[in-house]
Amino acid sequence: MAELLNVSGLEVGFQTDNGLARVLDHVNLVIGKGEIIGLVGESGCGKTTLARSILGVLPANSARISSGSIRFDGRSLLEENAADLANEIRGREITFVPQDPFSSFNPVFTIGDQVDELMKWKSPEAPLGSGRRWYSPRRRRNDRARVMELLRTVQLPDPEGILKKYPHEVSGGQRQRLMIAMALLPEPKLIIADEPTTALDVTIQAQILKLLKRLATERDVSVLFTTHDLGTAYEICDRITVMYAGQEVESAPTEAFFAAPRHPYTNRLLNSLPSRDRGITGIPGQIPGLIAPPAGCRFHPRCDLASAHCKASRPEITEAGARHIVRCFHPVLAKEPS
Amino acid sequence: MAGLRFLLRKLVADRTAALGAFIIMLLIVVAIAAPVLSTHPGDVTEFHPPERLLPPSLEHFFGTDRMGADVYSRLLFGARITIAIAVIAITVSVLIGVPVGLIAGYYRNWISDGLMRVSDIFLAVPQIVLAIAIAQTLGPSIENVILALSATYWPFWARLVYAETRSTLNETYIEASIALGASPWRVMLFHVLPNISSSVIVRTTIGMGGTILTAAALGFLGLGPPAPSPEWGRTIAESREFLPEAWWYATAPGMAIFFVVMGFNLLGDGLRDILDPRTRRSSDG
Repeated sequence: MAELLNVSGLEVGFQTDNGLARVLDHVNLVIGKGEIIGLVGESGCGKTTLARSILGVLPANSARISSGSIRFDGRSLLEENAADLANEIRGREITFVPQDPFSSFNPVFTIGDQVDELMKWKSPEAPLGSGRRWYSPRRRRNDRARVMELLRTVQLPDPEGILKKYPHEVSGGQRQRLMIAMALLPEPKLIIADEPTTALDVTIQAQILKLLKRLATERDVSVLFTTHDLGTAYEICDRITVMYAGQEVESAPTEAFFAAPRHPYTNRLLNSLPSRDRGITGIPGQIPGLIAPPAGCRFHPRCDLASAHCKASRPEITEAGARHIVRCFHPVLAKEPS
Repeated sequence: MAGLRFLLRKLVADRTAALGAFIIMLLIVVAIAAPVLSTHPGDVTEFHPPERLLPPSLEHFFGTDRMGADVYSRLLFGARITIAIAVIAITVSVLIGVPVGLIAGYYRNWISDGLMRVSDIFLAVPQIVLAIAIAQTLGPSIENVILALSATYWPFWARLVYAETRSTLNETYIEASIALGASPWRVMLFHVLPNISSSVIVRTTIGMGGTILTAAALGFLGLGPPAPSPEWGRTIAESREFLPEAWWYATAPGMAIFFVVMGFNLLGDGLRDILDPRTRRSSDG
């Protein structure tokens, strides 16, 4: 599979009053063309920071990228000029589906106005380059046809009517469908979906996920999908990467991930899914602080298998199977499905 | 325009706001048609000492003043001065305060701090004292009242817009437009300003009431337009020595000020409810 995005050795820190919080510590992530990657982890493990680093929208006053590279489709996102990236990559090649569809629309404009604004600047026909630009009637017509077609594809009832409405007049599920439609309109190569269904109820979640997967597959768009819900990741992802305390600890194709997880953390994570015979089991301990993270493996204070070696030195990425990597000195060999 | 029709329908439905709008429309009509509606249009400058301090009658609806001029006619012409002062002073305040607030809210650097500290200094001095000081220094005239009011009122809009801009900038849709490469002025004018315009409109409407009160206070203290101007505050000041016998003399301008200020406040409150787009029903969209 051709490589689309390659994040390697990325380190991002946030300056806080108590010191530098190292939120991403040497993170690597590869996304192939047309691949749907699930980025799974607890709150605060760096999922959103990684997604934002790729988008280039880290808070400018507190975030520091100290090392690493992000290569996207032959371009280096950390080195290029910010204005060029905003114009040529962000919103065109890489689009974003936000977590909360309620605060993502501007409440004072109709949905149609906001879609038009997007198409004016970011439609596939829109010329590159910033500044004032002429929105020709012909392009407006083409864009309008494109919008209508896509709104029907995301199964919105009465697309004409919806464009005339204000955001608060449509339901959360419809808003998230609109968000997905807007993310697809510029015909991007990569969509970053940051927990796109957490704000929705379960039945709508399933519909939205199926829709996202179907559209991504049909259009050969890659998706980086962050979630803390393994079930959701299982539904739609081709490959799953688990993050823990700012590091990716395991990455494997979905089947292998659920059948044979290698990292102790992944194991505990899968075991903590509620089930009828076990009830709910958590992982003892809590995620470490990121200002002074534990030396060695960041998971060792919570790990049953930790040895002296784990406390002293940091495990590197090792191959654990076909396209399966793990960051552990003592990977679990094979897991009995429980 | 659908939006305007919607606004009017909502205004009519909200009785107190409709009352406020009615009072303000009446004020505007009275100010424009003062020469037609007044019974003694000449009395703004002419005096008839033999007819001084006559009680209200069919000839003089609100009686006559110490110079024998018709209080009713002078009241109508006073409305012109009131409107002119309030509208110009508020417009200037908005034109200064809104851009200052937008810029200070958008940027987070020394420009922002500088602008807000300046407005803090203005807010730290009591409004009326500062206005008196300015009007006193420059001398009594309409222009100086307007200047004094504008100079003391703009920080209110700067503060309001600053706070609203800061909170609006945290919204995902603003962040997204910045991330997509929208320039600062574009974000301020086309994304932030429409979101905060309802608060600005409401503040402006209510601010009109406050401005009229302060203008009347300056007139009362003799810092407004000089005699024989029919300015309401000045008229009340003149009437003091004839109270309580010539009660009509102070009552007419007093009631006028009261109703106009109340009208603006009622309308402002009504607009606050109406202009929040989140309370709109889908059929009205």
